Amino acid sequence: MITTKLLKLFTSVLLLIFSFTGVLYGSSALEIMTKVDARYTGDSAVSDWRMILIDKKDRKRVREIEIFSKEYNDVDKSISFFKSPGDVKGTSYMSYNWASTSKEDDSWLYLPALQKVNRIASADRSGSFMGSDFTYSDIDGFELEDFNYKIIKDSDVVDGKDCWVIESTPKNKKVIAKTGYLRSIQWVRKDIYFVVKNRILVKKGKKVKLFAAKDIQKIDGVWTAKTLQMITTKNKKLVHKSIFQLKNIKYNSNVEDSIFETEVMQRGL
Amino acid sequence: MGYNYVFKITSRLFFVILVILNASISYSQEDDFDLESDDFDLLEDSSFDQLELDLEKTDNLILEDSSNLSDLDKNNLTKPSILIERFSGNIIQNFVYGIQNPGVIFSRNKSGVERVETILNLNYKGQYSSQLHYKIGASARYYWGKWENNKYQTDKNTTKFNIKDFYLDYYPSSKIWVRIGNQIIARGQLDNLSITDTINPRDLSIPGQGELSEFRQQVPGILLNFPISDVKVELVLTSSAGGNLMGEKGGSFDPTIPYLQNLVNLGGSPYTVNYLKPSNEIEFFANINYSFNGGDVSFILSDENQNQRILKNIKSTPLLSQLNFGYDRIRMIGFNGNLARGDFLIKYEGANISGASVFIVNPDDLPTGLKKNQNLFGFGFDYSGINNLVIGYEGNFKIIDNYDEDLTIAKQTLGHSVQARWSGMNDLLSINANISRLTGESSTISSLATSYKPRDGLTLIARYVKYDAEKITDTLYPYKSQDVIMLSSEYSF
Repeated sequence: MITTKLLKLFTSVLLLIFSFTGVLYGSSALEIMTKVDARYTGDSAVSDWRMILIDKKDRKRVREIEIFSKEYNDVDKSISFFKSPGDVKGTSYMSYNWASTSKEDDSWLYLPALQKVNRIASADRSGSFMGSDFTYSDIDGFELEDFNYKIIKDSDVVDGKDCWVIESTPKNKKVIAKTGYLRSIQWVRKDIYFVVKNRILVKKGKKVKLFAAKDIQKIDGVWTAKTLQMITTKNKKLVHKSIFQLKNIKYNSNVEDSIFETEVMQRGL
Repeated sequence: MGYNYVFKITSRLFFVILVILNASISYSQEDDFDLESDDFDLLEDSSFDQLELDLEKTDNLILEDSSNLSDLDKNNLTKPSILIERFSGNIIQNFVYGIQNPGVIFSRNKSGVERVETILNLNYKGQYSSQLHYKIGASARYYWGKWENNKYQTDKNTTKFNIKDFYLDYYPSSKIWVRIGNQIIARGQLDNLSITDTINPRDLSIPGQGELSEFRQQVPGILLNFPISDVKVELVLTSSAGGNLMGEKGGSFDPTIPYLQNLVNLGGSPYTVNYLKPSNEIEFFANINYSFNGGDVSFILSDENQNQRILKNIKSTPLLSQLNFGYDRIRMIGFNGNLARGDFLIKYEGANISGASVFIVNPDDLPTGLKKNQNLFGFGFDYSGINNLVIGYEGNFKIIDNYDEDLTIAKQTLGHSVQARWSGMNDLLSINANISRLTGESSTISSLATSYKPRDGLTLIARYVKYDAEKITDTLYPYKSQDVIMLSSEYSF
């Protein structure tokens, strides 16, 4: 699920989304976001990502990650392996994102120093994913039905493409606690139902996060953003920034079911 | 255990948690947004438009720059990479300062440098084919000096070499995994008061001070892991696994010190320490695991040599005494599991152990060991509902069957461990506090550590470790003045 996650997530990205009341602009916000959520992101994927973490003094940390993901009828599974730098090399993270809302997602973390797989408590997904500005919620994806949506602008141009501007707000405090997000405004490309930009009001620390998906190309029949960035700001100034840069991806490759097991986290690829 | 002691430990625990809680709350308490105010409209602020434009310019520079970070072609979008054949390792520099005078029976008999050491770990992971992988790992530990003649002698340096992970992985099919060689097989749920995680001996030579990666000791063995329907079965056979690493004679955690009075009774001659081999070097473990949404449960069987060696006897001549430490052969039937619910991860373990010795007080000679069945239960949880903070508790409970009143330990005993971990600044900074009270004793090990990552691969760590014990029979009583401050740097590659 991480690739499909990172893709969907970011793609459907920060699927923070909306519902709309009216029929002001032809499609309702909920209809649009339902299409964003349903957009084809591949049945499985193998991808390599570079995660660049940059602080406000422009100091960079770079992590290389390999991600396998696969969608099933009732669950999306993903497993990611950190390949560098040395202090995180060998770390792996796996998650099962269940379709049923009655099931909490399952996730595990393997730390090479302990050579042990530990299950992670699943409710609070608002924490940083491996030191980045993306949260575990961002990585694992959001539930469409957790938010209310509203179109606030029918047309705005981002990178030369016409977009809807849609506001999403959590339906209840539980969703806020889980995601850490209070409100977001998203720019959805009208031609491909792709979230290309997002501004997010974060509950903790009076921060605003800015998301952008760039370099969007069709790969193996799937619209894919090759660069995903999340910027954390406070008082409208940069605090920290994370960039996911896609290096390689192969959709619908033969990802075996057996790779989504805790034993694979232990023994590595 | 006196009231004052309980109060002291409780106060210290409270203080440590308070410090970390305060750090967490202060860090995030820059107040949440007020949705009734203008905060809610902040996202529409036009200044973000300019910020996004400015950042876009710098992003392009960063992405161009990062294209040189790897030889992989970032435009090659059709060829998934496969990692393999990579070196990894780290180099650790430790400076440890003993802040108390431990007493004249120790080599370091005053406050001062406890040890300075450099550790180099190297690993190589490769594959012969898709079905056959391997890993080779070794470490070298260089001590920059040694305590002798009431002084830390910098010309008494030594080096120790160890084989670490050294194994072959064989995958006859995608679901069957065989690992042969020197390996760590970490199981169980509780971290500090584990009951069923017994395959690997532990390094107890410097309790609370060692590296996490050094805590479990590799054992030579064969692991077979395969599924049967929804259940995973794991069988492990080890040979010559050894026992927990003990401190050196004369060192800060010299295991012979509790027996010095016995040696005096035997004539006070010079003595040596000898570790006896077990009568059966082969150990067997079976683990049956079932995972379900939100949890795991495992059942465990083992026939093994207990990792914690005990004093079997003292052989004494007029010129020399020999303390012989040996193993108990034990059988364990147990279970462990976890449940993730909301912000809680609940962990549990339990086991019945037969064949382990419990001692009877013998005022005239060494304590005499009696084999007693023991039942152990453990419970713990991690709570992660506070910003960037995880608070954990573990407790265990031991009951001895067919209890005799003159045993050196109580029929029912408890152990506790509390820990708090906070991380912030995008994981650059973390603080970790831990207090563990050993089962059935008033011995405690407390530690407070902070680590900072100034750059990729480099971690700086400062740690304070404190030992306490109240009764003379407590395991840590002779070592209760071995508190240290540690400064470490670790560079990983």
